[in-house]
Amino acid sequence: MEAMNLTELLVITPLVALFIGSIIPISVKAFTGREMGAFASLFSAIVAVVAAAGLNITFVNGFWKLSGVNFMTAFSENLIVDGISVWASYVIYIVTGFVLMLTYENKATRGHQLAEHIFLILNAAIGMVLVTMANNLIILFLVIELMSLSIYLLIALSREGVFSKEAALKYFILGSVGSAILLYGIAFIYGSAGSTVLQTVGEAAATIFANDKIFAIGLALVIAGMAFKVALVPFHSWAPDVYQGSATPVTTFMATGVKLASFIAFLRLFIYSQSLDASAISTLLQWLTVITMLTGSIAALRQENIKRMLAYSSIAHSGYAMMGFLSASMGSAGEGTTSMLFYLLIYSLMTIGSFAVVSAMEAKEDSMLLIDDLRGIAKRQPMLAFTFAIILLSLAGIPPTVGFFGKLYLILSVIDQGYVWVALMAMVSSAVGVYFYLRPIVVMYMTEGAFTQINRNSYLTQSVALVMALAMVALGIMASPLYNFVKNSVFPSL
Amino acid sequence: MILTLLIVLPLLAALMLLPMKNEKGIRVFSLVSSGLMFILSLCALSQFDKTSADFQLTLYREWIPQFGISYFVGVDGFSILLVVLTALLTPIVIAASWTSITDRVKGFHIALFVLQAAVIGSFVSIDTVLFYLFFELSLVPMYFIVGIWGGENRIYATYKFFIYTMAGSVFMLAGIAYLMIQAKAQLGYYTADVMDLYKVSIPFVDGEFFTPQTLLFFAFAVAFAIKVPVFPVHTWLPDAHVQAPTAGSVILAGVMLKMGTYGFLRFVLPMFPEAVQVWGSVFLVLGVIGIVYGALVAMVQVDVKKLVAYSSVSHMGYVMLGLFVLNVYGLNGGLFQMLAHGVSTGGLFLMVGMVYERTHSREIAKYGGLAKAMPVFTIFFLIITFSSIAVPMTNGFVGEFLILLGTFGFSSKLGAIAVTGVVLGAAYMLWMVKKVFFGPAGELVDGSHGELKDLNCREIAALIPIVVLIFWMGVMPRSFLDYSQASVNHLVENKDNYELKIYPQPEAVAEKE
Repeated sequence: MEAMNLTELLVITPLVALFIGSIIPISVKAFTGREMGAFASLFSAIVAVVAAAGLNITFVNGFWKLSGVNFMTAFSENLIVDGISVWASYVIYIVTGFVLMLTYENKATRGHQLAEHIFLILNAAIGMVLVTMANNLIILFLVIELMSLSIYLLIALSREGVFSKEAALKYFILGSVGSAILLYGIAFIYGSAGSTVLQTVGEAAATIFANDKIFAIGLALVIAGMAFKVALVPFHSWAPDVYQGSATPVTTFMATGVKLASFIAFLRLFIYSQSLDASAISTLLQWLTVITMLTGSIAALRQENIKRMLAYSSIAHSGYAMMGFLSASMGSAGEGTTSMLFYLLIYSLMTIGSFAVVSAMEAKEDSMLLIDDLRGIAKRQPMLAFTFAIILLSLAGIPPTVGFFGKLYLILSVIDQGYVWVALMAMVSSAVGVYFYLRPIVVMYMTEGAFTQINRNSYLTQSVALVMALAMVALGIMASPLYNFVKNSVFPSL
Repeated sequence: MILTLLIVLPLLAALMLLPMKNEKGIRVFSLVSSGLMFILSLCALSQFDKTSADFQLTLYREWIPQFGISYFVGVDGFSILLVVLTALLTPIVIAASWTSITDRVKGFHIALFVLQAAVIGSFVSIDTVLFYLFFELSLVPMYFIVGIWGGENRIYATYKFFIYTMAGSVFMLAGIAYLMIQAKAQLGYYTADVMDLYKVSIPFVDGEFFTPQTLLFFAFAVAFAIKVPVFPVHTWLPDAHVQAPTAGSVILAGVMLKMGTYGFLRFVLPMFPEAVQVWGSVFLVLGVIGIVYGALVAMVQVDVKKLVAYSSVSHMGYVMLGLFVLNVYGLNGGLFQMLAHGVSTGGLFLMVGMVYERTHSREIAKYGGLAKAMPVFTIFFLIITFSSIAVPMTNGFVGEFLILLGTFGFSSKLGAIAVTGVVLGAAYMLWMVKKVFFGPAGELVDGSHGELKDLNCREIAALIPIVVLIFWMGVMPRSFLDYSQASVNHLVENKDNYELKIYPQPEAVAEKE
């Protein structure tokens, strides 16, 4: 084992910045016994995130570009820096920044525990970035736990309502089962492949898979464990309850950051095993994709609670992202991966926007916003209603919003791989989706009512939502340059 | 470039409306700018070379190169007049909605402009994905127009309208994706350019349903049939029309339905020739059923607007018939009828809207003797009615006559059934006119609900272009048929091997290659 060199340390400088930012508010609280001012806490946290993003640009991205190789490893091949991890880290920093802003203004998280929230959010972000960089199954498991434990605590932290406690417990128990399954699978893989380093396992996968049933079992268990993390049907049942019960900023974080990081890790498990010609695995992934899309869309039809509806919609979107995963893992690493990363980026922006609107409408700590509560909002809060309408149209994938192009790229990438039936099912699922995404718009614009629920002190949150809505249209117009940008930054050699 | 302006300027106008506060100012601005856009569309018309069947006034810009998707617009004989019609109807409906829309005036005009951009965009798209994009985008503003400014049952109508159309276009998107893959396999590169897709040959086996060409034919045809709408997927139309505000009905009947028939003309007929030969009869029969069924159902309506809506189903049946007989008379007639129906049914909806604004009722039984109370209104209504029932010298006659001529050339049995539609059409329209305008004064007309004012200058001004067009198209149909003649001949002569080129226009060709 060689000694740590400077490059290795530089690779984790963004994470150090995040960590320093995370302990400032909580240290002040611990040592002085008083909360730091809410705005000062937010400010220090945002500075940490911006600093991390800046360090990511200069050191991580810069070194990787300079080195001119496809990827470089650090810490005895335990971490990997490549286009995927660099790009995913940027998205995680963006998401974290916006989640912090929502946390700052949301009634449920603003209370006297803001310091704890910031600590946990930034540590979860560290976990997420590490998840995207993990190159070793054991490390992967550890950093997934770092991310998950922070999230468990975040959910449980809200003081109010029985829902958040239920959500925390449910997520904790089911999450632990998911982690256990993942670990069990890792053990099987190690047993048959003799290594936990992803590339080594991936390169040997084709031969081992043909000879060793143990490896297949391990792979199936790992898929199940990851499917739990990204809420694929049939491992999705926790998501609606947990999304509904958690404070909205935390839900946002789960629906964006956690999902993104888990998807990247999931992808990393497969991207090295391109030679793995396993029709069984391919069939399994196709079915997971299709069932997830359809279940999410159909279940969302019946929801009355907005957050619950968005939770099912998030499940459906997991299914859409799985299309990119499918084509990335089954041969088209370039286009497949790019379409998936592109989709995860815009999905994250859409999700932040939609939950920001929900967060702005939560007048009380334990608001349970129903779709019918939106009556009359178009008259009283025209800007907020307009914002929400654009974001919903983008979620539904209606042109010219970027949601349409995200789906278009995904559908083209699976068709390119020959999974035409998956593409067809995605279109059916989108058509179903249009129905439930339009419902809030109908209620907002076409029914009368006195809309009363608004968080009076939510200018930042509303601005975040507005920025996202404008981004939906602007990025929709610039979809192709954006796609190429993602592609070039992830695969500079292609 | 001029076509791009026709798409961009409405969007720009919509943007400029955003900061405006004064309702009067919004209306004046909208009327003036939409009028200018109409003049711009006439400029496009004047630059159009009638003798060529190629795509003209093209503009090409790369957009998503790795899948061959581009921003590629142009017009040919099938689309040019539809573009002008769209640009004409917008100022008319803005003038007609001057007093009837009082709630959220700004939003209404923004929706109208976005709608105009989307409809024109779908008529001028050469790229299929771009076409799909505009086709879908047009749903959104119409959805809001019906949903916000519509009648009391509007929510049901909006859902039905949106879900029907959306469900149809999903099939089309799947079809486009399949065609692009075939293009990759046969031409070696991904492309969504319709001129390239025309070159792709799609396997066809006669007598089997599950062959690529037949499935693609139905994938596209279902999407467009819902939009037209063809019996039996027409049920969204009466609901949408009855609930929509006047402006919505006019645009819906005037141009949005034509997006369906235009789609048949642009994509279905040229791309799937063998499937059209075999399965086209399905749509011929459905077209004839639509003609007769629409007319029969219109006869028993108690609501004027619903009657006009069902008459629309009947008239669009003629268009379908004209397109699928695939001869020169039928196609010319079909295209002419698309315009004629846009003008006359649009006019009927306008007039129904005007009288509704005064009485707040559309129930035929409550009227009677309106001719005495509103003589000017009656004159206009009668002219448009004559156009709708295809009296010679009006535009309706030319279209239906050509279609029937084409149909008899194809099959005299179909022709014979289709002719009954003309008689039935006259029956229900004249019956309605008799009940509403003549006879003893009904409860809404006799003065017990206040006096009825006749048309004012603004309303007459909105109707004059329609009446002028009705007679112009009826007396001098050549001046309109000339525009489509070359394209129609080209399609009929090359129906098994249809291809289009870009009209020789140095810079456009240079851009594409």
